[in-house]
Amino acid sequence: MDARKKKRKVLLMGKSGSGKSSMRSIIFSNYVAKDVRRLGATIDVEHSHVKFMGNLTLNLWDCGGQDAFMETYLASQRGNIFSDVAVLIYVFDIESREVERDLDTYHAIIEALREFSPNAYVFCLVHKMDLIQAEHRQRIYDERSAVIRSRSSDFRVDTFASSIWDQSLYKAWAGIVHKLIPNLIVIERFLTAFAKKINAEEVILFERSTFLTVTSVTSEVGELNPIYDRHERLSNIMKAFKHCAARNTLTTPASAGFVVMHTKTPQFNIFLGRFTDNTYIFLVVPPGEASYNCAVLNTMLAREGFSKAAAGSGGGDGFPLPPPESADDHANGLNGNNPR
Amino acid sequence: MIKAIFYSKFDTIEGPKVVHQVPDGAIVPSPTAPSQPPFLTFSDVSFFVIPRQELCGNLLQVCTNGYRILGYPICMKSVRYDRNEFIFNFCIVLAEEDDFSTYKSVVQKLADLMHGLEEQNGFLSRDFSKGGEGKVHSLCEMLMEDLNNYCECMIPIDELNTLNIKLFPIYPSPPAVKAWQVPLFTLRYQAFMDENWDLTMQRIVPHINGVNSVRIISVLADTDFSLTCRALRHLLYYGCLFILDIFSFSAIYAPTAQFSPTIGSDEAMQLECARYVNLRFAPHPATGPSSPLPPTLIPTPSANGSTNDSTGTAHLSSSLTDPTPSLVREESRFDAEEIWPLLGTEETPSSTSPTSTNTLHKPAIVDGAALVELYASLKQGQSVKQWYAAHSRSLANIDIRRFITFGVIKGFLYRVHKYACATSQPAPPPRPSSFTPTALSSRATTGNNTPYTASSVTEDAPISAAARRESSRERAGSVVSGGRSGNGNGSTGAPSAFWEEEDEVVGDEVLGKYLDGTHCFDQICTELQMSERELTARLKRYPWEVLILHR
Repeated sequence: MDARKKKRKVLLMGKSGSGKSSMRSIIFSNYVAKDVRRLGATIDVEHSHVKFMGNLTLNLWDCGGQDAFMETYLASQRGNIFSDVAVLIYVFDIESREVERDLDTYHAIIEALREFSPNAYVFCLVHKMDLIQAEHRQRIYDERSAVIRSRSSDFRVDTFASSIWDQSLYKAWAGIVHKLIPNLIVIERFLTAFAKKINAEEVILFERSTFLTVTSVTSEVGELNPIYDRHERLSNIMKAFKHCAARNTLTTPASAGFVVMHTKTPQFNIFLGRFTDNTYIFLVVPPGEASYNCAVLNTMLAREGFSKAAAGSGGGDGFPLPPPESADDHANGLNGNNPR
Repeated sequence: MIKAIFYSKFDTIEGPKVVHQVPDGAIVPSPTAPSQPPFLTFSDVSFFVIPRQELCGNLLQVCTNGYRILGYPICMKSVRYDRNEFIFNFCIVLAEEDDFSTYKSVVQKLADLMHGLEEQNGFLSRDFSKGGEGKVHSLCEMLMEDLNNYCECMIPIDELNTLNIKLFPIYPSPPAVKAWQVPLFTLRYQAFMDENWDLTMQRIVPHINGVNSVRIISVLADTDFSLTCRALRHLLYYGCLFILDIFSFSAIYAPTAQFSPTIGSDEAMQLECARYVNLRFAPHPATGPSSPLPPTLIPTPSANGSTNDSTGTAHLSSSLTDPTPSLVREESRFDAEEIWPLLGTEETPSSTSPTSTNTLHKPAIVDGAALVELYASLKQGQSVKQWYAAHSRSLANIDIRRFITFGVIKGFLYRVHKYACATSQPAPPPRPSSFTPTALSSRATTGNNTPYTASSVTEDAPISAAARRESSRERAGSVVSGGRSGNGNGSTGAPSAFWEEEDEVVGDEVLGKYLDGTHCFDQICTELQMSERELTARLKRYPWEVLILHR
């Protein structure tokens, strides 16, 4: 019963060729952006189960967007497709010439969703933004999201501009999974307290396999950071790093992991390391060897407490500790990346 | 009967799509044929017509609305296609209850051909013609029409490619052909044979006549034996052949359970039989060593009676190329009266005339009832020779081989085969009365009902014969055992000469392999190339006791 409840049905819909399968492959199957050119069209619905944060299974329904399929989803398959939906992710192709028609389809989908799963979250991704000249992006995106909202009935819709060619994809998906994590409040409370204790400027929790941001805490000092999209940039960078590590260690990106990475500069210290079984933690602490070592030590000590807190709050076994071999060999060097 | 053919492809914008359909409007509504209601709802089955990539390359069938759709989807991957793939399927729609086995190969062949054409020059992906137009549509149209009307088609597609399809019926695999079986054509092969036939086939068919065994055919045609068997198996597959047994006068036939529902009550079959066996209608042989024998010559199988070789049996046959009875239907040519074979004119003292036709005030004929009686008098434990002796007058104008063959073909007679089974007992000592082979071969057809007098072993017969028990009283009642013949030492005359010679040809070890009770005499004789009499004689000299079983 418990396990069932945590299975969340996620519908991935949108017009054919809008990039649904591509982004799914990048986020969950460790594709790199240029690989998705090789993908074929999705026929009917492709079901996949994505493990996220250990015990949270996303039941991802990647629905082929050809007109004929859309018709069957709305007609004969209506109940099957739209019942028990936790999240609908609707992808709009910004390049589409038939905006009005796309919106009509979207509206029909929204109506079907309202009928069968009125409590679902709806996310709209305005995709392929890289094809729009940079100076127009914000304006076009704003216009488009306003139109989408107007066609969304009474759903509160989150919209994102996205592109597989930059970090915006990670931002969008981080926003999506953020909504799906059951014990997020506990995690956030814990993380806030922890950040305060170790005097961190910023603490970010990443999911292990997707490297999507789960949540983050930023101190007042941290708020001064001018790089507003640093979280998704980090996701992007770390994913690329994993690919690189996989290539050089002759493993697959999925199995390539790393233990720890640290960067020390006169202005700040960064520590990125394995936290629990399903997460990496990213710390930004003030400069200085002492405060750095102190923070690292405290992080290691906090792991157990965090794991318990998350588990004790009804989150189940979502945050088991990593196996002991991931113990800290970070003392070995400065700026050392140790691909496992 | 094909109800519809359609070509479907995956359109990267629209999804699975019916591009061409024959007849128009059969699968999806068509503006050009608004009155035609679709046979089915395409969207219900589109997942099986254009399945996901992993399922492509397999024969798929789906039934809906009383129709069966057979398809063989193909997914071609190439960077030149939009979304890297081109998925298409040519489907055949049949009625759900129809047999579809023959169409499986059609859809597969069509898929393979189209796959090739698409690979060569984008035959399908560059075809942008509307539904109901263009090359692909006319191809579907011709295909359906030709297959429905002629069961085959030859549609030129371009200067290099032609679509050749023929509907072949699918039959179960025929059993393997054995050397000692005798094939008989069910039809006149001359009518459909041409020079394009397989060479072996061309050589063997003239020798298939219902008399020659497979081994003999391969010898006469000078063809490889295994090729001969394979060629015959092909003919058997298409139902062109019956498989009979080697006819000989020493063989035993008995009625089956089919007897009364067929010949016993079916007057048409009796007429058919009469026409087939009546010597009057025997066709003149196209080839063969002998012309049709006058009736008076027929009842002299004497020395040939128990041999299996072709020279012996050829004399028994009035024709070497007779077609099977079911095909000889020229009833209008004769009055019913004339069809019945005449009774023999001379009444020999031995023929007791069991058919009891009244010869006094009617032309003496063997009518339907008489034929049935003749068949009914065949029984276990009585060789054809004995049977003939008992009924020679009725059989005077009847071709005996055809008479027996007719029953076997119609399934109301069966051959009682003989099997030899060696025991671990040493052979019993020879009986003085049984060692002279000359005694048995000679007077077998004296009309005497006890042909076992001379030897129990050679003419061995059925268990049930009382005479048999008497003559071999020292043996078990249910089986007959061969005894040692005394090695021919007593008789140094001519008859025993071939035994000695044979002794060298077939050793005990070779022979022993056939004596496990699973090999019938026909097989042993054929494979060891000896006559039945030689075999029987040889068995007597086998060091162990040999039981002979009839079944």
